[in-house]
Amino acid sequence: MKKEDYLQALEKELSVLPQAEKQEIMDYFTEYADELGEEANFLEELGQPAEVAKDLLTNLEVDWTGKNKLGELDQSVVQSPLQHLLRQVTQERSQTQANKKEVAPFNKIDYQLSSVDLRILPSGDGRFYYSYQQDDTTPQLDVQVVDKKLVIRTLKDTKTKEPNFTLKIFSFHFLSSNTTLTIYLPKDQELLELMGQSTCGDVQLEYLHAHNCQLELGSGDVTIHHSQLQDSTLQTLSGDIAVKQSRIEQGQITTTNGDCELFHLILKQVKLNSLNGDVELAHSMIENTDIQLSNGDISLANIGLLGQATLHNANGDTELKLTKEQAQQVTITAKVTGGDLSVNGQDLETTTFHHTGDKSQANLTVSNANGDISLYL
Amino acid sequence: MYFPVSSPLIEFLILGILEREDSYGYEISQTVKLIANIKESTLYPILKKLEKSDFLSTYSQEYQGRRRKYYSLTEKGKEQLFSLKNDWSTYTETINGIIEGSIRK
Repeated sequence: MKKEDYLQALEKELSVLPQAEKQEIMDYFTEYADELGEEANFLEELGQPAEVAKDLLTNLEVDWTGKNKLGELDQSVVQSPLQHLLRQVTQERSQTQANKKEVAPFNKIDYQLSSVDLRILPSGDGRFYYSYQQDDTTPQLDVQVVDKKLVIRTLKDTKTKEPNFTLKIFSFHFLSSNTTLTIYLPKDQELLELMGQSTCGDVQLEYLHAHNCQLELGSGDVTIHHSQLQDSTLQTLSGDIAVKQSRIEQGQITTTNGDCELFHLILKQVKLNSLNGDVELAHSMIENTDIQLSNGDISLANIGLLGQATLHNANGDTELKLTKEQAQQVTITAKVTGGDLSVNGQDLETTTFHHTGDKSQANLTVSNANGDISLYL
Repeated sequence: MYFPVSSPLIEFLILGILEREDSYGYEISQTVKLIANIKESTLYPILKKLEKSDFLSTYSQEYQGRRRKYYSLTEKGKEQLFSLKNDWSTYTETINGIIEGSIRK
Protein backbone atom coordinates (compact mmCIF):
# COMPACT_ATOMS: atom_id res chain seq x y z
CA MET A 1 0.00 0.00 0.00
CA LYS A 2 1.37 3.37 -1.02
CA LYS A 3 1.67 6.22 1.42
CA GLU A 4 -1.08 8.31 -0.19
CA ASP A 5 -3.45 5.34 -0.36
CA TYR A 6 -2.81 4.51 3.24
CA LEU A 7 -3.45 8.05 4.44
CA GLN A 8 -6.57 8.30 2.29
CA ALA A 9 -7.93 5.07 3.77
CA LEU A 10 -7.21 6.32 7.26
CA GLU A 11 -8.90 9.64 6.62
CA LYS A 12 -12.00 7.82 5.42
CA GLU A 13 -12.11 5.75 8.60
CA LEU A 14 -11.90 8.90 10.69
CA SER A 15 -14.74 10.66 8.89
CA VAL A 16 -17.03 10.51 11.93
CA LEU A 17 -14.74 12.83 13.87
CA PRO A 18 -15.12 16.59 14.04
CA GLN A 19 -13.11 18.20 11.23
CA ALA A 20 -10.50 19.91 13.43
CA GLU A 21 -9.85 16.77 15.42
CA LYS A 22 -9.54 14.70 12.24
CA GLN A 23 -7.18 17.20 10.61
CA GLU A 24 -4.87 17.13 13.60
CA ILE A 25 -4.69 13.34 13.55
CA MET A 26 -4.06 13.33 9.80
CA ASP A 27 -1.26 15.89 10.23
CA TYR A 28 0.34 13.66 12.84
CA PHE A 29 0.11 10.50 10.72
CA THR A 30 1.19 12.29 7.55
CA GLU A 31 4.24 13.64 9.32
CA TYR A 32 4.98 10.19 10.70
CA ALA A 33 4.56 8.54 7.30
CA ASP A 34 6.90 11.12 5.77
CA GLU A 35 9.55 10.18 8.29
CA LEU A 36 9.15 6.52 7.40
CA GLY A 37 9.83 7.29 3.73
CA GLU A 38 8.04 6.21 0.55
CA GLU A 39 9.21 2.61 0.64
CA ALA A 40 7.99 1.75 4.11
CA ASN A 41 5.43 -0.91 4.81
CA PHE A 42 2.78 1.38 6.25
CA LEU A 43 0.38 -1.41 7.16
CA GLU A 44 3.07 -3.01 9.26
CA GLU A 45 4.47 0.17 10.77
CA LEU A 46 1.18 1.87 11.54
CA GLY A 47 -1.45 -0.88 11.45
CA GLN A 48 -4.64 -1.43 9.44
CA PRO A 49 -6.40 1.92 8.93
CA ALA A 50 -9.63 0.54 10.42
CA GLU A 51 -7.77 -0.70 13.49
CA VAL A 52 -5.88 2.58 13.88
CA ALA A 53 -9.14 4.52 13.67
CA LYS A 54 -10.82 2.26 16.20
CA ASP A 55 -7.91 2.66 18.63
CA LEU A 56 -7.92 6.42 18.23
CA LEU A 57 -11.66 6.71 18.71
CA THR A 58 -11.55 4.64 21.88
CA ASN A 59 -8.54 6.41 23.37
CA LEU A 60 -9.15 10.01 22.42
CA GLU A 61 -11.16 12.31 24.61
CA VAL A 62 -13.00 13.78 21.69
CA ASP A 63 -14.79 17.05 22.17
CA TRP A 64 -18.10 16.29 20.49
CA THR A 65 -19.74 19.60 21.22
CA GLY A 66 -18.69 20.94 17.85
CA LYS A 67 -20.40 18.07 16.10
CA ASN A 68 -23.86 17.87 17.46
CA LYS A 69 -25.68 17.93 14.19
CA LEU A 70 -26.96 14.43 13.88
CA GLY A 71 -27.47 15.03 10.17
CA GLU A 72 -23.75 14.92 9.66
CA LEU A 73 -23.65 11.45 11.11
CA ASP A 74 -26.67 10.30 9.10
CA GLN A 75 -24.71 11.00 5.97
CA SER A 76 -22.27 8.29 6.86
CA VAL A 77 -23.68 5.62 4.62
CA VAL A 78 -22.26 2.61 6.34
CA GLN A 79 -23.64 1.99 9.79
CA SER A 80 -20.83 0.17 11.46
CA PRO A 81 -21.29 -0.80 15.13
CA LEU A 82 -18.73 1.85 15.99
CA GLN A 83 -20.67 4.55 14.22
CA HIS A 84 -23.80 3.39 15.94
CA LEU A 85 -22.08 3.81 19.27
CA LEU A 86 -20.86 7.26 18.34
CA ARG A 87 -24.36 8.19 17.30
CA GLN A 88 -25.67 7.26 20.75
CA VAL A 89 -22.96 9.23 22.46
CA THR A 90 -23.68 12.28 20.34
CA GLN A 91 -27.39 11.94 20.92
CA GLU A 92 -26.95 11.77 24.68
CA ARG A 93 -24.69 14.77 24.59
CA SER A 94 -27.16 16.82 22.64
CA GLN A 95 -29.96 15.86 25.01
CA THR A 96 -28.05 17.10 28.03
CA GLN A 97 -27.16 20.16 26.01
CA ALA A 98 -30.83 20.92 25.49
CA ASN A 99 -31.09 21.88 29.17
CA LYS A 100 -28.17 24.28 28.92
CA LYS A 101 -28.95 27.96 28.70
CA GLU A 102 -26.35 30.12 27.05
CA VAL A 103 -25.43 33.32 28.87
CA ALA A 104 -23.31 36.36 28.04
CA PRO A 105 -19.54 35.97 28.65
CA PHE A 106 -18.41 36.61 32.21
CA ASN A 107 -15.14 36.58 34.14
CA LYS A 108 -16.50 36.80 37.67
CA ILE A 109 -18.90 34.65 39.61
CA ASP A 110 -20.81 35.57 42.73
CA TYR A 111 -23.25 33.04 44.17
CA GLN A 112 -25.39 32.44 47.21
CA LEU A 113 -26.91 29.03 47.38
CA SER A 114 -28.79 27.13 50.04
CA SER A 115 -29.40 23.47 49.35
CA VAL A 116 -28.20 23.46 45.75
CA ASP A 117 -24.94 21.84 44.65
CA LEU A 118 -22.70 23.88 42.39
CA ARG A 119 -20.46 22.57 39.66
CA ILE A 120 -18.18 24.63 37.47
CA LEU A 121 -17.00 22.78 34.39
CA PRO A 122 -15.34 23.59 31.06
CA SER A 123 -17.83 24.11 28.24
CA GLY A 124 -15.66 22.70 25.47
CA ASP A 125 -16.96 25.06 22.80
CA GLY A 126 -15.76 28.47 23.97
CA ARG A 127 -19.18 29.53 25.20
CA PHE A 128 -20.83 30.22 28.54
CA TYR A 129 -23.80 28.25 29.84
CA TYR A 130 -25.59 27.20 32.94
CA SER A 131 -28.00 24.38 33.53
CA TYR A 132 -30.43 23.93 36.37
CA GLN A 133 -33.51 21.78 36.70
CA GLN A 134 -36.02 24.19 38.11
CA ASP A 135 -39.40 22.94 39.26
CA ASP A 136 -41.80 23.18 42.20
CA THR A 137 -39.62 21.14 44.49
CA THR A 138 -36.29 22.85 43.83
CA PRO A 139 -35.22 26.26 45.16
CA GLN A 140 -35.92 29.15 42.80
CA LEU A 141 -32.73 30.69 41.48
CA ASP A 142 -32.07 33.97 39.83
CA VAL A 143 -29.14 33.68 37.43
CA GLN A 144 -27.92 36.62 35.39
CA VAL A 145 -24.83 38.27 34.01
CA VAL A 146 -24.27 41.86 35.14
CA ASP A 147 -21.09 43.68 34.04
CA LYS A 148 -19.36 40.42 33.09
CA LYS A 149 -20.22 38.96 36.48
CA LEU A 150 -22.43 35.90 36.81
CA VAL A 151 -24.65 36.58 39.78
CA ILE A 152 -26.62 33.72 41.31
CA ARG A 153 -29.12 34.31 44.06
CA THR A 154 -31.61 32.05 45.77
CA LEU A 155 -34.99 33.72 45.65
CA LYS A 156 -36.47 33.54 49.09
CA ASP A 157 -39.71 35.34 48.49
CA THR A 158 -41.02 33.10 45.75
CA LYS A 159 -44.21 31.26 46.41
CA THR A 160 -42.90 27.75 46.21
CA LYS A 161 -45.86 25.46 46.07
CA GLU A 162 -46.33 23.89 49.47
CA PRO A 163 -46.50 20.18 48.73
CA ASN A 164 -49.29 18.28 50.45
CA PHE A 165 -48.50 16.05 53.39
CA THR A 166 -48.06 12.73 51.63
CA LEU A 167 -45.91 14.35 49.00
CA LYS A 168 -43.82 15.93 51.74
CA ILE A 169 -43.12 12.55 53.29
CA PHE A 170 -42.43 11.15 49.90
CA SER A 171 -40.08 13.95 48.94
CA PHE A 172 -38.33 13.85 52.30
CA HIS A 173 -36.56 10.86 50.93
CA PHE A 174 -35.02 13.01 48.25
CA LEU A 175 -33.97 15.83 50.50
CA SER A 176 -30.53 14.43 50.91
CA SER A 177 -29.79 14.65 47.22
CA ASN A 178 -29.67 18.27 46.14
CA THR A 179 -30.33 19.55 42.69
CA THR A 180 -27.27 20.79 40.88
CA LEU A 181 -26.55 24.08 39.24
CA THR A 182 -23.86 23.58 36.62
CA ILE A 183 -21.92 26.47 35.18
CA TYR A 184 -19.95 25.94 31.99
CA LEU A 185 -17.27 28.29 30.86
CA PRO A 186 -14.49 28.01 28.26
CA LYS A 187 -11.47 26.14 29.59
CA ASP A 188 -9.12 29.03 28.88
CA GLN A 189 -11.38 31.62 30.48
CA GLU A 190 -9.74 32.77 33.69
CA LEU A 191 -12.02 33.95 36.45
CA LEU A 192 -10.91 37.20 38.06
CA GLU A 193 -13.21 36.65 40.97
CA LEU A 194 -15.12 33.71 42.44
CA MET A 195 -17.11 34.51 45.53
CA GLY A 196 -19.75 32.33 47.03
CA GLN A 197 -21.57 30.88 49.95
CA SER A 198 -23.36 27.55 50.14
CA THR A 199 -25.35 26.60 53.20
CA CYS A 200 -25.67 22.91 52.64
CA GLY A 201 -24.70 22.31 49.03
CA ASP A 202 -21.51 20.85 47.63
CA VAL A 203 -19.10 22.68 45.36
CA GLN A 204 -17.17 21.02 42.58
CA LEU A 205 -14.61 22.77 40.39
CA GLU A 206 -12.94 21.20 37.40
CA TYR A 207 -10.36 22.64 35.03
CA LEU A 208 -10.85 26.08 36.50
CA HIS A 209 -8.33 28.88 36.62
CA ALA A 210 -9.46 31.46 39.12
CA HIS A 211 -8.08 34.41 41.06
CA ASN A 212 -9.60 35.90 44.19
CA CYS A 213 -11.69 32.97 45.31
CA GLN A 214 -13.64 33.10 48.49
CA LEU A 215 -15.70 30.02 48.99
CA GLU A 216 -17.61 29.44 52.18
CA LEU A 217 -19.47 26.22 52.77
CA GLY A 218 -21.64 25.03 55.60
CA SER A 219 -22.24 21.32 55.53
CA GLY A 220 -21.29 20.67 51.92
CA ASP A 221 -18.10 19.18 50.54
CA VAL A 222 -15.63 20.83 48.17
CA THR A 223 -14.03 18.86 45.34
CA ILE A 224 -11.44 20.49 43.13
CA HIS A 225 -9.71 18.81 40.19
CA HIS A 226 -7.21 20.03 37.62
CA SER A 227 -7.57 23.63 38.69
CA GLN A 228 -5.47 26.65 39.49
CA LEU A 229 -6.51 28.95 42.28
CA GLN A 230 -4.70 32.14 43.22
CA ASP A 231 -5.46 34.27 46.26
CA SER A 232 -8.05 31.88 47.52
CA THR A 233 -9.89 31.31 50.73
CA LEU A 234 -11.65 28.01 51.06
CA GLN A 235 -13.67 27.44 54.16
CA THR A 236 -15.91 24.60 55.25
CA LEU A 237 -17.72 24.08 58.49
CA SER A 238 -18.52 20.39 58.49
CA GLY A 239 -17.85 19.43 54.90
CA ASP A 240 -14.77 17.68 53.59
CA ILE A 241 -12.23 19.19 51.22
CA ALA A 242 -10.71 17.12 48.41
CA VAL A 243 -8.25 18.76 46.05
CA LYS A 244 -6.45 16.80 43.37
CA GLN A 245 -4.07 17.61 40.55
CA SER A 246 -4.29 21.30 41.18
CA ARG A 247 -2.23 24.29 42.05
CA ILE A 248 -3.02 26.66 44.86
CA GLU A 249 -1.03 29.84 45.28
CA GLN A 250 -1.46 32.28 48.12
CA GLY A 251 -4.40 30.68 49.72
CA GLN A 252 -6.03 29.72 52.91
CA ILE A 253 -7.84 26.46 53.48
CA THR A 254 -9.84 26.21 56.66
CA THR A 255 -12.09 23.49 57.92
CA THR A 256 -13.78 23.06 61.27
CA ASN A 257 -15.06 19.51 61.28
CA GLY A 258 -14.28 18.21 57.83
CA ASP A 259 -11.34 16.17 56.60
CA CYS A 260 -8.87 17.28 53.93
CA GLU A 261 -7.61 15.03 51.19
CA LEU A 262 -4.92 16.71 49.13
CA PHE A 263 -3.19 14.79 46.37
CA HIS A 264 -0.91 15.74 43.47
CA LEU A 265 -0.83 19.39 44.31
CA ILE A 266 1.43 22.34 44.11
CA LEU A 267 0.88 24.52 47.15
CA LYS A 268 2.65 27.85 47.33
CA GLN A 269 2.17 30.17 50.26
CA VAL A 270 -0.82 28.32 51.57
CA LYS A 271 -2.15 28.31 55.12
CA LEU A 272 -4.07 25.22 56.04
CA ASN A 273 -6.04 25.12 59.27
CA SER A 274 -8.05 22.20 60.48
CA LEU A 275 -9.77 22.18 63.84
CA ASN A 276 -11.23 18.70 64.26
CA GLY A 277 -10.67 17.00 60.94
CA ASP A 278 -7.80 14.88 59.65
CA VAL A 279 -5.48 15.95 56.86
CA GLU A 280 -3.90 13.73 54.26
CA LEU A 281 -1.42 15.37 51.93
CA ALA A 282 0.54 13.31 49.42
CA HIS A 283 2.45 13.35 46.13
CA SER A 284 2.74 17.09 46.23
CA MET A 285 5.15 19.97 46.15
CA ILE A 286 4.80 22.54 48.89
CA GLU A 287 6.51 25.88 49.13
CA ASN A 288 6.29 28.33 52.04
CA THR A 289 3.30 26.57 53.47
CA ASP A 290 1.93 26.61 56.97
CA ILE A 291 -0.25 23.79 58.30
CA GLN A 292 -1.95 23.87 61.66
CA LEU A 293 -4.21 21.28 63.22
CA SER A 294 -5.92 21.24 66.55
CA ASN A 295 -7.50 17.86 67.14
CA GLY A 296 -7.06 15.86 63.97
CA ASP A 297 -4.23 13.68 62.69
CA ILE A 298 -2.08 14.59 59.71
CA SER A 299 -0.17 12.39 57.36
CA LEU A 300 2.19 13.68 54.70
CA ALA A 301 3.76 11.37 52.17
CA ASN A 302 5.94 11.92 49.16
CA ILE A 303 6.31 15.65 49.51
CA GLY A 304 8.80 17.86 47.73
CA LEU A 305 9.59 20.91 49.84
CA LEU A 306 10.80 24.39 48.98
CA GLY A 307 11.30 27.45 51.14
CA GLN A 308 9.88 27.51 54.64
CA ALA A 309 7.19 25.19 55.87
CA THR A 310 5.70 24.71 59.28
CA LEU A 311 3.53 21.94 60.53
CA HIS A 312 1.96 22.28 63.93
CA ASN A 313 -0.45 19.89 65.59
CA ALA A 314 -1.98 20.58 68.99
CA ASN A 315 -3.59 17.28 69.99
CA GLY A 316 -3.37 14.96 67.02
CA ASP A 317 -0.56 12.82 65.63
CA THR A 318 1.75 13.76 62.77
CA GLU A 319 3.30 11.38 60.30
CA LEU A 320 5.74 12.46 57.60
CA LYS A 321 7.19 10.13 54.96
CA LEU A 322 9.76 11.39 52.49
CA THR A 323 11.73 9.61 49.82
CA LYS A 324 15.54 9.58 50.12
CA GLU A 325 15.80 12.21 47.42
CA GLN A 326 13.23 14.45 49.10
CA ALA A 327 14.89 14.05 52.52
CA GLN A 328 18.22 15.19 51.02
CA GLN A 329 16.62 18.44 49.96
CA VAL A 330 15.22 19.49 53.30
CA THR A 331 16.30 20.55 56.78
CA ILE A 332 13.87 19.37 59.43
CA THR A 333 13.43 20.46 63.02
CA ALA A 334 10.94 18.36 64.95
CA LYS A 335 9.78 19.00 68.47
CA VAL A 336 7.26 17.31 70.74
CA THR A 337 6.00 18.58 74.07
CA GLY A 338 3.67 15.92 75.39
CA GLY A 339 3.86 13.20 72.76
CA ASP A 340 6.49 10.80 71.48
CA LEU A 341 8.97 11.33 68.69
CA SER A 342 10.11 8.56 66.38
CA VAL A 343 12.34 8.46 63.33
CA ASN A 344 12.17 5.56 60.85
CA GLY A 345 10.23 3.51 63.38
CA GLN A 346 12.74 4.05 66.23
CA ASP A 347 11.46 5.90 69.29
CA LEU A 348 13.76 8.71 70.37
CA GLU A 349 14.53 9.51 73.98
CA THR A 350 14.73 13.21 73.21
CA THR A 351 11.91 15.62 72.51
CA THR A 352 13.67 17.29 69.59
CA PHE A 353 15.18 15.97 66.38
CA HIS A 354 17.19 17.72 63.74
CA HIS A 355 17.91 16.57 60.20
CA THR A 356 19.95 18.43 57.62
CA GLY A 357 19.76 17.23 54.03
CA ASP A 358 22.93 17.29 51.88
CA LYS A 359 21.24 19.40 49.26
CA SER A 360 18.87 21.27 51.51
CA GLN A 361 16.69 23.86 49.82
CA ALA A 362 13.90 23.98 52.36
CA ASN A 363 13.28 24.31 56.09
CA LEU A 364 10.52 22.36 57.72
CA THR A 365 9.51 22.80 61.33
CA VAL A 366 7.31 20.10 62.80
CA SER A 367 5.93 20.61 66.28
CA ASN A 368 3.31 18.82 68.34
CA ALA A 369 1.89 19.73 71.72
CA ASN A 370 0.21 16.52 72.82
CA GLY A 371 0.37 14.20 69.83
CA ASP A 372 3.15 11.98 68.49
CA ILE A 373 5.46 12.73 65.58
CA SER A 374 6.69 9.93 63.32
CA LEU A 375 9.21 10.74 60.64
CA TYR A 376 10.33 8.41 57.86
CA LEU A 377 13.29 9.81 55.98
CA MET B 1 9.94 -7.37 28.01
CA TYR B 2 7.76 -9.25 30.46
CA PHE B 3 6.47 -6.09 32.15
CA PRO B 4 3.77 -4.02 30.51
CA VAL B 5 4.27 -0.29 30.04
CA SER B 6 1.09 1.47 31.10
CA SER B 7 -0.11 4.78 29.73
CA PRO B 8 0.77 6.78 32.90
CA LEU B 9 4.29 5.49 32.44
CA ILE B 10 4.29 6.53 28.79
CA GLU B 11 3.14 10.02 29.85
CA PHE B 12 6.08 10.09 32.26
CA LEU B 13 8.48 8.95 29.51
CA ILE B 14 7.25 11.63 27.11
CA LEU B 15 7.65 14.39 29.70
CA GLY B 16 11.11 13.03 30.48
CA ILE B 17 12.10 12.97 26.79
CA LEU B 18 11.06 16.60 26.41
CA GLU B 19 12.81 17.82 29.55
CA ARG B 20 16.15 18.39 27.84
CA GLU B 21 14.95 19.48 24.44
CA ASP B 22 11.85 19.80 22.28
CA SER B 23 11.07 16.93 19.97
CA TYR B 24 8.60 15.78 17.29
CA GLY B 25 6.24 12.85 16.97
CA TYR B 26 8.45 10.36 15.16
CA GLU B 27 11.47 10.96 17.38
CA ILE B 28 9.42 10.74 20.61
CA SER B 29 7.82 7.56 19.33
CA GLN B 30 11.18 5.95 18.49
CA THR B 31 12.49 6.67 21.98
CA VAL B 32 9.36 5.37 23.72
CA LYS B 33 9.58 2.24 21.55
CA LEU B 34 12.94 1.41 23.12
CA ILE B 35 10.98 0.16 26.12
CA ALA B 36 7.35 -0.12 25.07
CA ASN B 37 5.80 -1.96 22.18
CA ILE B 38 3.39 0.85 21.48
CA LYS B 39 1.33 1.75 18.43
CA GLU B 40 0.99 5.24 17.00
CA SER B 41 -2.73 5.02 17.60
CA THR B 42 -2.02 4.67 21.33
CA LEU B 43 0.76 7.23 21.47
CA TYR B 44 -1.13 9.99 19.68
CA PRO B 45 -4.00 10.14 22.22
CA ILE B 46 -1.47 10.31 25.04
CA LEU B 47 0.35 13.22 23.42
CA LYS B 48 -3.00 14.87 22.81
CA LYS B 49 -4.02 14.36 26.44
CA LEU B 50 -0.77 15.89 27.70
CA GLU B 51 -1.33 18.82 25.37
CA LYS B 52 -4.90 19.28 26.60
CA SER B 53 -3.75 19.20 30.21
CA ASP B 54 -1.36 22.05 29.35
CA PHE B 55 1.71 19.95 30.08
CA LEU B 56 2.90 20.32 26.49
CA SER B 57 2.75 23.13 23.99
CA THR B 58 3.38 22.70 20.28
CA TYR B 59 4.82 24.65 17.40
CA SER B 60 5.55 23.96 13.77
CA GLN B 61 8.97 24.06 12.21
CA GLU B 62 10.16 23.51 8.66
CA TYR B 63 12.47 20.56 8.07
CA GLN B 64 13.68 19.70 4.52
CA GLY B 65 10.61 21.26 2.97
CA ARG B 66 8.21 19.47 5.31
CA ARG B 67 6.55 20.75 8.43
CA ARG B 68 7.25 19.09 11.71
CA LYS B 69 5.14 19.59 14.81
CA TYR B 70 7.40 20.04 17.81
CA TYR B 71 6.33 19.36 21.35
CA SER B 72 7.70 21.40 24.21
CA LEU B 73 7.31 21.16 28.02
CA THR B 74 5.30 23.97 29.63
CA GLU B 75 5.92 25.24 33.17
CA LYS B 76 3.02 23.08 34.28
CA GLY B 77 4.57 20.14 32.47
CA LYS B 78 7.86 20.68 34.29
CA GLU B 79 6.02 20.69 37.60
CA GLN B 80 4.15 17.53 36.64
CA LEU B 81 7.44 15.89 35.70
CA PHE B 82 8.89 16.92 39.06
CA SER B 83 5.98 15.34 40.91
CA LEU B 84 6.07 12.19 38.74
CA LYS B 85 9.82 11.82 39.37
CA ASN B 86 9.07 11.90 43.08
CA ASP B 87 6.39 9.23 42.64
CA TRP B 88 8.73 7.21 40.49
CA SER B 89 11.51 7.22 43.08
CA THR B 90 9.07 5.97 45.75
CA TYR B 91 7.85 3.33 43.32
CA THR B 92 11.28 2.03 42.38
CA GLU B 93 12.70 2.29 45.90
CA THR B 94 9.78 0.27 47.26
CA ILE B 95 9.94 -2.35 44.52
CA ASN B 96 13.71 -2.69 44.89
CA GLY B 97 13.32 -2.87 48.66
CA ILE B 98 10.76 -5.63 48.39
CA ILE B 99 12.65 -7.75 45.90
CA GLU B 100 15.94 -7.29 47.71
CA GLY B 101 14.25 -8.11 51.01
CA SER B 102 14.96 -4.87 52.85
CA ILE B 103 11.27 -3.94 53.02
CA ARG B 104 8.74 -6.20 54.70
CA LYS B 105 5.39 -5.45 56.22
